[in-house]
Amino acid sequence: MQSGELCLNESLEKDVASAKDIVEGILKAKKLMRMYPANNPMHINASAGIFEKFNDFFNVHRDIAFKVTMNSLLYKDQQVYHKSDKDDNLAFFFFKDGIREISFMNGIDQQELEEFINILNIDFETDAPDDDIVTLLWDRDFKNLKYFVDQDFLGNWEVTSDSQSSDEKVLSAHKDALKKKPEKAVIQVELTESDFRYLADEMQKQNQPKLQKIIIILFESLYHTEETNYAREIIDIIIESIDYCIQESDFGKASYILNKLKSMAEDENRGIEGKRSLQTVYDKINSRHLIEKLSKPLDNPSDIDKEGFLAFAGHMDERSISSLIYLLGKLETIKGRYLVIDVLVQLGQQDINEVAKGLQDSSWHVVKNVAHVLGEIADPDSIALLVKTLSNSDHRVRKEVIIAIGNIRSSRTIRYLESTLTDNDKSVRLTAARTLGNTKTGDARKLLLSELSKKNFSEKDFSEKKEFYRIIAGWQEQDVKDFLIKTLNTKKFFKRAKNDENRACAAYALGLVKDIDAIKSLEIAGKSKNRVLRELSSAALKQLKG
Amino acid sequence: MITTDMREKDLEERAKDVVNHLAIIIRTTQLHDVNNVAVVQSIHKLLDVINPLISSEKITLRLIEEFFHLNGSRVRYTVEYSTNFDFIIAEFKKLGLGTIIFEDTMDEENIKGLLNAIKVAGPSDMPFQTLCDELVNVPHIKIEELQEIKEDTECSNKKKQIKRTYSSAVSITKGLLKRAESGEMINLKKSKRVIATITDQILEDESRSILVGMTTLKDYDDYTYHHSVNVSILAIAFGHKLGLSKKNLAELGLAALFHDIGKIKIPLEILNKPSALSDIDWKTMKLHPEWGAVTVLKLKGINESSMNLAITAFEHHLNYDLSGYPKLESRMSLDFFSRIIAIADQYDAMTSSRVYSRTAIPPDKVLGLLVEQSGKRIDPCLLKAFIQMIGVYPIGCLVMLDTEELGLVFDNNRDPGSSDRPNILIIADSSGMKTDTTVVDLLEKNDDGSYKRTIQKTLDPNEYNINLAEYLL
Repeated sequence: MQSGELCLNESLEKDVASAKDIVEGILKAKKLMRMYPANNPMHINASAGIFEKFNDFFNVHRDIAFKVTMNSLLYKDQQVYHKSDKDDNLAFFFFKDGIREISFMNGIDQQELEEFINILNIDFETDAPDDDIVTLLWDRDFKNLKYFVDQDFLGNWEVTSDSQSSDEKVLSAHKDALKKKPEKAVIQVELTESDFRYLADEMQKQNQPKLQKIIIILFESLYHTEETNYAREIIDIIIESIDYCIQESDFGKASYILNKLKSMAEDENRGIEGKRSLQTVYDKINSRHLIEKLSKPLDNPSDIDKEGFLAFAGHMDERSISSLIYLLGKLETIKGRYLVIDVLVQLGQQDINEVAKGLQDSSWHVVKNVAHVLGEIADPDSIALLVKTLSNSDHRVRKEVIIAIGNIRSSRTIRYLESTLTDNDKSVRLTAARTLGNTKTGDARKLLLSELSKKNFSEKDFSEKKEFYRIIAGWQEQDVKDFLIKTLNTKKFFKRAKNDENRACAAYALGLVKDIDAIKSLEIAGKSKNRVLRELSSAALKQLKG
Repeated sequence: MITTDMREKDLEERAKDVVNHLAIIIRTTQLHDVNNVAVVQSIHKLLDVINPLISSEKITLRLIEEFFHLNGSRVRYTVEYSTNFDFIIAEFKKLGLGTIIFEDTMDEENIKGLLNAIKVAGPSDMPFQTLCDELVNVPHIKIEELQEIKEDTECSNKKKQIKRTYSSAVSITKGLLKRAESGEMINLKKSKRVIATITDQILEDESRSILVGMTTLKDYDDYTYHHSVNVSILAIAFGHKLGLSKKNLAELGLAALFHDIGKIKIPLEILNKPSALSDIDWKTMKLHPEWGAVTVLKLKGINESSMNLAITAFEHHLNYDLSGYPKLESRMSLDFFSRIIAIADQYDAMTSSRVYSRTAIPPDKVLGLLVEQSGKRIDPCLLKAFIQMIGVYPIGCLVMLDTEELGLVFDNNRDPGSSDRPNILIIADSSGMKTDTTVVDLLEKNDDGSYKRTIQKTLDPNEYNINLAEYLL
């Protein structure tokens, strides 16, 4: 073997090894990019990794072309990939759709490569049933990726023509033409500037969404038909178009469809079919199947058309309550849950027992949200249902139930909340106190004063005590003022520090109630050795004098 | 007349059989000796078809470009024989063999002599010469050398590809519409592939005219499928003229291919009625746009692609002024694609003879009729662009030039100002004799600045059974 030949072989071996490495890189990137979402570091690194491999190759070569056989990829006639099994076989994946060669050019960028690998990862059966690798590559129109396709895929038909112009016919045509008088073309056309502008505008419009037009077409077809079965076929498509709207987060359009159906049902001239169809569609939109589909658009990070969603949900009825509660458990975003809660508040008024069933849910946040819904509905009948949930093990639920009970404002509200003032969770106790405060009732005041008067109240931490005093200051009644002055003036020898905290809280509350009768007591307390008492008394005095 | 027609059909079939059996025996001889039972059996099958023909006159089998001609008539190339036809065409070319003349009734020995000669000549350096030498002692068989192909191979291949695209498109559309008719789910994969190929060919200047020329092929029996493909090609070419993106062209082409899908629901007795349609028939016929839209959405669900298809299926008989059908209750504007397809649809339909309208109108006259509807039934701006695309003398027009040559409009000149000066395929010289077809550009000038040729008169090509597609095939 000559030395030149040896060099050539070595160079070929090196190139083949690099090509093999690129194919392995493609396979690895394909796997990782399928497994991890686009923002995941593994996905990002996989994309960068394969781009780097191509770049390294293109430092030396202008392009890389792989011949495709059924089970192998060849580079310069050397096998760089082989898999005998057809499953997950890259060569067969190209081969089956007719690709016989695939080339990557120097200049291919990371985005192009990523899009190429995304195409390899498409599940054609579910995501692109009307496409194959060739149509997708063609659609994408890659600049630096070329492929050769064997068009045998399309079949091997030949077109034939029955008519064959005979010499006689041609001669006859010639003779006839000679006899004819010369004529001039009558049509001369010229496109003007405004024509071009018009065409450009129309082309632009062509890429706008088409759903609105489809809805019109479906309704036109529905209006025209007299055949029941055909009308039902159309209704099925209308239902599917609602599904499509949901999938596209276009709730305004879904609501538009439902409104059109409703008008049709209310139109006496449209016959029974309109009413029947509306019923079918309403059955569908209240179904668990459809409601489950709401989770995707509702959790979508982009802004949802709230007005459109609420208009769409306005077509739901109490049958959807349990599914909406189920949906609450599935939703991952607060924004989505708020929207469903808004809908439940509306629908729940028709059946609070159905809503209350959600209080039995195993998920704490569903129970919390349901309690919130019941609170918003504020039907006194739901208090009894809510009270049972006050013993829920999750403090967040208990808090929400307290707020809900507070909202309902029944005569029994204060009684139900009494026990919650002694809940073992501070935040629950505070919620209870605030809720009582919000009622502004005498019973609530008395209950809170009684709580503040308890011996063990001073044992609570300062922030809790201060909040309780803030709440009681919401009342301007004399018994409150008297209680506060009395507390401020009370000195104790034992447990002095805790008592001074109580006094400081009373001073703080007196400032809030602006009781001028308390000025003297506050001036004395303002000279206390206890810093907190001193500061809060001085602050209260400023409030009173200012 | 019927007897003559039947006889012609029979001869056509026999001609195909001759080529087919000849291919079989040559192929079999490549594997076996000429005395092998299988070869002998095949020889007798050939004798059975060829001898009845030789009994009336000698048989000349000639290869011209990609087709065999038996005694001057082209042998139809059909799907069932395609493999054998492709094989024998390749064999003839390999041997440099252009013609075999069977001068008298053949027997087994004559054919064996021919086969042996082919077998020997195959690996030879000068195959045709060897073949001649080997046949010297074989009676009643004469051969002639293959004539040089006039067109360059690239052009011929291009034509071949385009013809194949066209026929695939027809065949795929037919298959798909048949499946839709029987209520089966349809997959658009193949249609998309064929539309992608058509789009690529339209985007290529040289291929475009051939492909658009193919739309002059009007098949009376398979009208719906040919029409669908024609409309699709015209729409893509039109869209290209308008400057649509490649992706939009493909969407437009697919929508055009299925614009008449609603017709699958029209009873065949109406669709194939030879007489004029009654009012009731028309009422049914007018439902096909709605049926089309509903069928597409039912079979393909709601997605970007199916919405395009449904809209154009629904709107293609709605006019620019929203007259036409279906009658609308809601006010809406017509989709851009629908307006493009409507023009292509009307143009192709009017230039075709259909079941319920046997009269095809010459292409240039169709443009005149469309212009009359401009601004009323047809978007005036789009019609202007369409005429610029297809030319004042549209592709397929039969014209007489001031040189008294007869020709068919082959391609429109790109310059909008020269739309009355297309490229012409000359089919007869000034004396009316058929000529070898050549393409001339009417923009060509003499030294004195005058045009070499100018269109003087137009004729109805249908009246004389002359269409451009025939010359492209």
